[in-house]
Amino acid sequence: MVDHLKQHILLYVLGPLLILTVGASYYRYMVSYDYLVRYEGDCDPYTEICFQYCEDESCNDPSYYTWITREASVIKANCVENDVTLCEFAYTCEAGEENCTITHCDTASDTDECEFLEESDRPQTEQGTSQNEETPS
Amino acid sequence: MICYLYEAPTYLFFAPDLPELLYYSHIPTTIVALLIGFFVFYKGPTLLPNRLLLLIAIFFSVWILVSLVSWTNIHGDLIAFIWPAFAITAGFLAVYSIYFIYSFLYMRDVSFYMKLVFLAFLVPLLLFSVTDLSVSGFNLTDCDAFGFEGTAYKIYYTALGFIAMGWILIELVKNYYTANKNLRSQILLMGIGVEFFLFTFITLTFIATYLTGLGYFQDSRLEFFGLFGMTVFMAMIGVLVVKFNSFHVSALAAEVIIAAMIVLIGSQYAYVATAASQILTTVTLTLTAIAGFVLIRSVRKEVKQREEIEKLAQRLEKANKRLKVLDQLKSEFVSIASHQLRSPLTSVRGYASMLLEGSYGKLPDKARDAVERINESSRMMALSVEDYLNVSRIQAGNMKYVYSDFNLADMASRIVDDVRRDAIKKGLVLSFKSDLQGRGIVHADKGKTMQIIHNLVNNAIKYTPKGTITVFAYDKGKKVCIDVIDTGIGMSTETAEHIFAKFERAKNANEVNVTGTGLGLYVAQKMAEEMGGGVEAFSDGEGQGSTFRLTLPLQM
Repeated sequence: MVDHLKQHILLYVLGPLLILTVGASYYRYMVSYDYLVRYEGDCDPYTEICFQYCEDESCNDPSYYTWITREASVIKANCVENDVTLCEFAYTCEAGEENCTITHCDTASDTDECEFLEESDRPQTEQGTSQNEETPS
Repeated sequence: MICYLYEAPTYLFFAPDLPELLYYSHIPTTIVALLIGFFVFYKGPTLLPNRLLLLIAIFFSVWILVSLVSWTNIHGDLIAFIWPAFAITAGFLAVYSIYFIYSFLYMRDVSFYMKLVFLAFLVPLLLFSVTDLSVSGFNLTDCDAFGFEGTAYKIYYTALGFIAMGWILIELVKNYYTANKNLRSQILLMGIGVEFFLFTFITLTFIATYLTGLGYFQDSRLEFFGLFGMTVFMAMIGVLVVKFNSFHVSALAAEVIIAAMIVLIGSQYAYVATAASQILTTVTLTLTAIAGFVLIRSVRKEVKQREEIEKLAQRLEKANKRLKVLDQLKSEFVSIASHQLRSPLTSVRGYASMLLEGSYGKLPDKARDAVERINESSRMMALSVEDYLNVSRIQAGNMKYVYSDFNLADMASRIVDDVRRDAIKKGLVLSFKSDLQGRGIVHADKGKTMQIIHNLVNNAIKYTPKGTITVFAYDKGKKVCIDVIDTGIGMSTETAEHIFAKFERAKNANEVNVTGTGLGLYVAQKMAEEMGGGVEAFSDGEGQGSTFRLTLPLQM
C-alpha cells in the first residue's frame, strides 16, 4: 500500500490539487468575479490630460481616453450583459468604492501618448456648442 | 465581462481579423503532437515513457486550446479563468519533460525522492495559480491579462523551463558518453527534439508575453514561432520510432510520411481563404488519403511477408544448429563404437590368417572354406570400420595429412597391379594407361592418395559385373588426373549428384554388391579436397558404365 502510494504520489497529489485549482479558479473568476477589470474611459482633452490613440501616423482623427480599473464584481452587479460600453455606471467611481481608479495620462512618463488641448483649439459647431458637451459613446 | 472592441467567435475559437499564423501554428502542431502521443501510447500503453509522452502531448494541447480561446474569445471572465492554465501547463510540460527523459534513458520509473522534487516544483505553481500572484485582473480593451500577471509567478514557471532544459541536457550528455553507438544516435535525436521544443516554447512565450505585458508589443504573436518546436520534437520521436523501434513501437516510414503529408495538407485550411482553394485542398487531401491508405496496406503486406521469412530463416538456423549438434554426437558415437570393434576384428583376422597359413596344423577342406569366409568377412568389416573412423575424423577435423612429393601415375600403376588379381577373379580386364606430358609429381599425403585410388578401383571392380576397367593417368593444366573408367552398372544423373554424400549409394548398387557402407566415396572426396584436389563422377546413365576422376594439383 505504502509502495503503491509512493509510486503514484504525483498522481495522488497533483490530480486532486489540479481539480481543486480549477474549481477555485472557476469560483473566483466565473462566480464571484473577484478580480479587477481595466477598460478605457471617456476623456475630454480640453479639460483633462488624456491618453491619445491614433488610427494611423497622420493622426487626423484621434480618440482620447483614460484607464479605469475597478472590481469586476461591481461591474457585474451594475451593468447589464457585462458590457461596460452599455453602462453609464462603468465610467465613474462611486464614493468610497474600493479598488476603483481612473488613470489619466501622466505627462512625466507617458509624454508620447498624452494630449492636452487649449480651449481656443476647440472646433466650433454650427449651433455654437462645443464637442465636449456631447455624450461620449 | 465583454471585450467590447472585438467580435464574438464562432465555434469557440474562430474569429475574423486574426494573425494568419495563429491557426497554422496552433492547430497542425497540436494534431501532430496528439497523433504521435496517442499512437505511441496505443502501441505500448503499459510503458512509462509512452504514457509520459502522451501526457506531454496533452499538456501541450491544453496550452494550445487556452491560447486559441484567449486569442479569439471576448468573454473576459472566461479568459481570466483559463489564463492561469498558461503557467500551469508550461510548468507541467517542463517538469514532465524531465520525467520523460529519465524514463526514456533508464527505462524505469524515477525514485520517490525525485518525485518529491517534482512535487516541490509543481505544487506552488498550482497553489498560487488562484491568487493575485498569478493573475489579478483583466484588460477589457486589449482582451488579455498580460498587464495583470504577477512578475514573480511568471519568472517562476519560466525558470522551471530553463531548469528542465539544463537538467535534461546534463542527463543526456552523461548518458551519451557511456552509451553504445545505437543508443547514442537515439540520445542525440531525443536531445535535439526535446531541447529545441523547450527552448523555443519557453523562451519565445516568455519573451512575447513579458514584453507585451510591459507594452512593448501590441500582442503576443511572437509566441507562435515557439510552438513549432513541438513539431520538431514529434518529428524526432517519429524518427526514433521508425528507425530504432523506440518506445517498443514498430511503425513504417510510409505510415509516418503519409500521416505527416495529410497533416501538412490539412493545415492549409488554416490559411486558404477562397472557396476554390478550399475545394482544391479538399480534393488533394482526399486523394492523398486514399493513395496513402493503398500504399500503407501494400507496404504492410510486404513487411509482414518479410517478417515471416525472417522468422522462418531463424527457425531454420536453429534447426540447422541442432542438426549439427546431433550429427556431431552421432559421429562421436560411431567413432567410439568403431574403435571398440577394431580391436576384436584385428584378433579375428589375425587368427583366421594363422589358421589358413597352417600355424595350427593343416585344416580340413570344409574348415578351410569356413575360415576363408571368416577372413574375407572380417576384412570387409575392418574396411567398413575404417570408413566410419575416417568420417568421424573428417567431421571432427582430426584427420592428419602428411605431405610429400610423389609420382601419381606410378602410384596408380602399382595399385592396378596389386588389385589385378581380384579383377581377373571376376573375369574383368583391368588395365593402366598414361598420357602424362610431364613428370606427374604431386604434393599430397601418399597414404591418403593411395587409399583414394584403391577405393575408386575397388569400387569399379565391385560394380562392374563384366567388361573392362581402365585406369588412365593424364595431366590437365596444372593438375594431374586419374580416371577410373568402367563398363559397370553406371548411374543416373540424379544419383551422380548425391553419390558423394554420406551413406549414399546408387539405387542399383545392391543388385551387384550388398556390403558397401556408402561412406567410401564421401571419405575419398573429402580427403582429396583437403589436399587441394577433388573427386568427380560421370556416367551416361544406368548400365552405361561410370568414370570416377581423382584430381590433384601438380607440384610446381
